[in-house]
Amino acid sequence: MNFRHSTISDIPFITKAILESEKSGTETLSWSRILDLKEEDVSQLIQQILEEEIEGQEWNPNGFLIAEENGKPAAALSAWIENTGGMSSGMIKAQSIAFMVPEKWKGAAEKLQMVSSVQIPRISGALQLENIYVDPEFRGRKLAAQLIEFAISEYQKTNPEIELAEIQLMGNNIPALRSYTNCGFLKAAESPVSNDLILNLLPGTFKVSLQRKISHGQSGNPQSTI
Amino acid sequence: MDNQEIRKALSEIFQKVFKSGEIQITDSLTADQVKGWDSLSHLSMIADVESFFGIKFKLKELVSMKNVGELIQLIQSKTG
Repeated sequence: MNFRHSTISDIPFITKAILESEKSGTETLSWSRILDLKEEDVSQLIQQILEEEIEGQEWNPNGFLIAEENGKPAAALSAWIENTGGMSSGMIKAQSIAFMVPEKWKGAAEKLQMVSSVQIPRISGALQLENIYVDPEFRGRKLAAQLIEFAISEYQKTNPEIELAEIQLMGNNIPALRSYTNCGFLKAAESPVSNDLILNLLPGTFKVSLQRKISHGQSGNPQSTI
Repeated sequence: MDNQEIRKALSEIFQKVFKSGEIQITDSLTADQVKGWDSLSHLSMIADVESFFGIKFKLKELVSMKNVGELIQLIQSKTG
């Protein structure tokens, strides 16, 4: 298994990774329900935003890390440092979506307001890990854990000041939660869905923030754990 | 449009959108310093700024703005 940074040619796999991780192990694609778009339209929207290479948020091809075997992508995750430029990743992502589909965005104001009530503010300056996805063919090989260690190790090289890594996900995704807690992440915050209307828009009943302190002596060599 | 006119207009737009009362428009002001300035209200603010000044921002411009000072510079560059 080879671990590397993504390239533009990975966009199709990255798009799949985003779609599947957004569903969090369910069939509910939030952006489809919020913006009233078909899944293929959400897929196209994600690809359009990826092609813009916008830094500081999760849908950026330059922030993705890939595990591959014999040239075939097996797993992906996106990583970035939160709020390094005075604007949160949520704000950057919201602007990107609103820019691409302005009419859909305006029409979704009420749903967006409801969903925002479940959001947990991300920690400024923390390494964010999102869209963690392992292709079904490669599951059971602890690739997510290896990719997380690879991401932390890579970001430590360029950002030695980072002290915390954070993952946010729906708390109902037990396999993912178990995988991340096995990597040393601990639950730091939880935000429940407050009503059925919001429940219909999200792939779970509560959101959690998992955090892990980053030790500065960490070497993080995923290949060695295979 | 001069810098003072832009600041005055921004002050009014910010108060209306963020509902935070009097907001001191400084160059270093960022979203996390203003109560009510979140991803949703930010987009309302941008829409109001575009409408008031009769300008249109590009996506790259929107996502690379670091503070209010950069927003003012951008408005100045587009309004001449």
